Amino acid sequence: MMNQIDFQNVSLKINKTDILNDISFHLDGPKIYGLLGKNGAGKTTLLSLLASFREPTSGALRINGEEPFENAAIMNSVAFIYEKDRKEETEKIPGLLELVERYRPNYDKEYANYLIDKFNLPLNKAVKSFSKGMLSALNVVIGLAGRTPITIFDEAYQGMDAPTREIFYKEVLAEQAKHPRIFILSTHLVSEMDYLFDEILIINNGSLLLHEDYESLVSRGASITGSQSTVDHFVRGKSILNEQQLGNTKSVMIYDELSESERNEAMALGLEIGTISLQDLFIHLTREER
Amino acid sequence: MKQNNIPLKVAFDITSVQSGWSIIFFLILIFNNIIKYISSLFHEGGEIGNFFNITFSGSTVFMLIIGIIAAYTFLPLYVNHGITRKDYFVGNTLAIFFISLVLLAVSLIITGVEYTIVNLTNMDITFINEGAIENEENIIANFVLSIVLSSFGDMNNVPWLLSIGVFLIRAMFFYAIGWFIGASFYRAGVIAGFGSIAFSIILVSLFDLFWEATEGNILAQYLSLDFGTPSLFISFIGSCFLIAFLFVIIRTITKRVSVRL
Repeated sequence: MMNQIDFQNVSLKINKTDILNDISFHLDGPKIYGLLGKNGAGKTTLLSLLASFREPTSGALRINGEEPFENAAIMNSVAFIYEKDRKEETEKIPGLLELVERYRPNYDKEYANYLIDKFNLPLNKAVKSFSKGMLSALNVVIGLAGRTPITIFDEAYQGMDAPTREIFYKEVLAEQAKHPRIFILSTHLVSEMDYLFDEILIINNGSLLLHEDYESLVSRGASITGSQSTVDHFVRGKSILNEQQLGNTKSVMIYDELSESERNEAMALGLEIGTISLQDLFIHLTREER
Repeated sequence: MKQNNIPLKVAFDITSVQSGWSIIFFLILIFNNIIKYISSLFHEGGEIGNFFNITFSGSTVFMLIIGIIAAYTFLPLYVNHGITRKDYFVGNTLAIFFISLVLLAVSLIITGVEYTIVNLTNMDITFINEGAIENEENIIANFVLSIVLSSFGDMNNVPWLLSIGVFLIRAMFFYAIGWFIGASFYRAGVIAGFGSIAFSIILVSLFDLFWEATEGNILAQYLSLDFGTPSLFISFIGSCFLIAFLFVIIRTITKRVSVRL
């Protein structure tokens, strides 16, 4: 089972421009990993290294302890699903899936047909005539039905309407239950996907900001609301993500785990402690870096 | 999860796809010959090149173009399907041989049909034979044509292996040239791409020298290079060496190439 991914000080330069800087993380086990980052943060490039589309300039990348680049067994276990230009694709869906079936040993044809039906995709139309949403759905079919041990969806939802995106999310969860594997979903639309993720990686300007499991990450962020002076006093020394004020009432988002005694103290001071969403954390953490 | 016979699978797929493209190529040639036949009906004793001759000349451009397309199409496709660059390279190399075989087979079948029709209908047609066309493009074609045409006489004395060999080697060489140019553009951009075209012109001239095509040959013109009349053995070995040399360069270019998204 292919379930270990290691990045050790991985950097990438393209045309002397730093694209990824000294990235290190370890993914362990068949989970759903969310790779978050703003547009241009380096998400796609990082994922393309995993799929052996290119090699890092420095550092080491290992999958199950082996370098994936030009490693037949490993490359065959990684599917990288991204928004591909299919404007010239005269082939129809059956022809494209035939290729997947030939080269992906775990491909499930029945499941592919089920998904095609679910996404309402036409079998008799050339793929080049597909709408953006249909192309995204086709990509999802290829990624899910290919059943590769490492399946990467790079902003696969693009162009999909809300109901179709919902089908995609449900299928990812169902697949993970039935055929556990490493799913990596990259996105900058965090709010509607956060419930999918077991672990989160946030990348910004080519550097890894954090890698944590979902529960720890969201429990670390908190919003403190109350009178200005009390809030200011309470959050002193803590990592502040954002501040908002209306009259004398102030709300501050912090990125620091609160101890039990701190929570009791806040309550005694009349402060309100709220949770903050992954989306808020993502927005403010990446904004802080600018 | 290592799969067996990946290069063979790749070779089969590329051969199917590119042989499919050759249908258009053959249809154009057939259409071209039909027009010539019709026009020859109005001129007594018309002379036209037979289908093999036309395919022989046309196949170089066809193979060159599909070679260029291969570099841009198949490498990203197969890496995206989890195939290593090495397996893709071996598969595409095998495919060149298979596609050349397909071209040869189809060309010979259509030529056979052509001769049968002309004989059955007693059309007043003369097929242009060796030496009838003097431009350098057709010298090699006529060389092979003379051999193939003789097959319609004494079937026992036809050096089939030779005619097939020359056709295959020429087709493979031009595909490899196209693949090399395409891979150079893909890997290193426009400047290196144009450099590869310049280098290819030299390689094509060298190839032509092995087959006595000196007219308009830049190596013959500027360097006064002339192999004279090389023996067939030298011609074959020299041509094979050039093809192998191209494969080595292509493999070097694509060995660690980054795939574009």
